[in-house]
Amino acid sequence: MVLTLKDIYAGYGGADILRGVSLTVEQGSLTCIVGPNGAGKSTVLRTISGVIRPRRGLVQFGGVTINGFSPRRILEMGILQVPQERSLFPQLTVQENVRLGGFILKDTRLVERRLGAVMERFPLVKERAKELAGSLSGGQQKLVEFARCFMLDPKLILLDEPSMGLDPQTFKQVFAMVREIHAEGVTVLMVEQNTKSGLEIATHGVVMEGGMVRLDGPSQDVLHHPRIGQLFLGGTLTMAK
Amino acid sequence: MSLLLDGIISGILTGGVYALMASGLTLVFGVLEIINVAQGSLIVAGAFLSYALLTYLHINIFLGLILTMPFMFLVGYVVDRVFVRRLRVDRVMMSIMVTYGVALVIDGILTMIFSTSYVHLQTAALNQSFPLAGMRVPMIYVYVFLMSVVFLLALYALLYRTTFGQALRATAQNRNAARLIGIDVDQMSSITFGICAALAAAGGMGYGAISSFHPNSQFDLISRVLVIIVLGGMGNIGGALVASLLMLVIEDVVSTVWLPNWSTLIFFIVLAMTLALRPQGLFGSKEARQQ
Ligand SMILES: Nc1ncnc2c1ncn2[C@@H]1O[C@H](COP(=O)(O)OP(=O)(O)OP(=O)(O)O)[C@@H](O)[C@H]1O
Ligand SMILES: [Mg+2]
Repeated sequence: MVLTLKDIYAGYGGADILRGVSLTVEQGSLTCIVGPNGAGKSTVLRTISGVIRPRRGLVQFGGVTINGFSPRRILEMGILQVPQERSLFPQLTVQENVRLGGFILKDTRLVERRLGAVMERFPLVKERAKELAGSLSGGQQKLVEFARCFMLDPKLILLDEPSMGLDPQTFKQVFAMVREIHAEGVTVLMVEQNTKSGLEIATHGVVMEGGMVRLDGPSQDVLHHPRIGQLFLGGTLTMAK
Repeated sequence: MSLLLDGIISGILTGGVYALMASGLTLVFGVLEIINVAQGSLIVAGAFLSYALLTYLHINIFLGLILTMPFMFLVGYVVDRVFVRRLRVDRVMMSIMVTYGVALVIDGILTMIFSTSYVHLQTAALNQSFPLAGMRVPMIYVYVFLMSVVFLLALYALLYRTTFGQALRATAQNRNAARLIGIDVDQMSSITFGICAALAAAGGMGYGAISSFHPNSQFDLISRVLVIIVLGGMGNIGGALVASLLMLVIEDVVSTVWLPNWSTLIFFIVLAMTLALRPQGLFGSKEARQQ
């Protein structure tokens, strides 16, 4: 199932933030979007997950046009988003949080079965099942957010800066998890602040700036592009016309 | 000593119905992140509905809730659907304006139909009383208190014992995350507003059974109920419950032991003192809300 964005214009009610974004996420790829703060990376993910609706353009998944779908219908298509900000419910337990990942499922037996499987797979969820999600560290919460995705049957996971604010130890753990999810055959579209680490584990790279895609291709090509060095230095990447 | 006890008993008995009136408001704040200043007029509307059923159709005020609560649920649902849901930016400020508008409309309709004289829900139970700690407690106070307890328990069961309730609490804790797991946040909000209005119908009936009211009673009610939910910690239902009992006991003790005129003022004095010491209210936690 290929995801394609065609000439997307989107924003938050004011001026457009995305100004003609087109990109393709191949099935089975681990695509990494990099770019400076405010480039519109998160906005791209929010457009795909249906939290915001594009003003113009098309989002297609496996040939189906999905822009305009409710977040729920997009979940039903197998597209899940782990947002940049925390997305657990701090006053619910870890187990309740994970179970709610299956909120859209009607079959309660299936929900319990999947919950059991997630607990087996993620020891953290099992160990801290009865604790309030808000009492976990930032990194642990991120891992529980990943675990929650497996209450559904994800085909495409959208990860927005999963490593943000993590210590080096947890950073490694989170990245290992991203690789593992990808190795299982789930397509991953990730936004990463850490350009180098992000592109190194990715198969494809996309560079965004000012609400547009400036560069994309196999991640090695993007990583070794002559102008990409400026990004590592925290600068911008204004491509020559 | 016995005056003090009287104040405490009557404070607890009336505190129950205030807790009921406040619970809906604090629930709406928690889930929708808006302040519904129409709550006072929804309560008065509920009281007048019970009054109309009682006066014209001779329907018992407690039985009448079977009609008034679903009706008020619909009113609340529609108010959210038509007015509140549209607010996307600056929701708190805008919601105050919009719901104040709703309050004025309800106020106008009630004034037109019922004029502005004070009425009271007269029941047979009103004339019965029993002795307790040296005073006579009217039975209606006990009935209204028990009704409030029943509805608060039902609300608790809905929130903490059902999947729907869990989804509602999840929405209150993190709206965006709720959306991302497929919860229809807009629908949840409308239902919450409906529940708030239905609780106002029951609360209004209880209020009208123990005190007289007219359309303008909404101003007094909304200020008291707002004090209660701020004191209890915005969005915290348990907090609203404790704050209701506390405030009504303090008010009734002040009015029986000291001077009735002081009793309303004491409401705001306690609020000011509490907020000076704990800006998040007695049971509010800043961190949880900001998450
Ligand atoms: N909810 C919102 N309402 C209004 N404007 C927003 C909102 N979220 C983001 N923006 C604006 O949209 C622009 C792009 O934001 P976006 O979050 O997509 O950037 P980003 O590339 O993810 O940046 P970062 O690396 O900081 O996460 C920014 O200028 C931001 O101020
Ligand atoms: Mg971002």
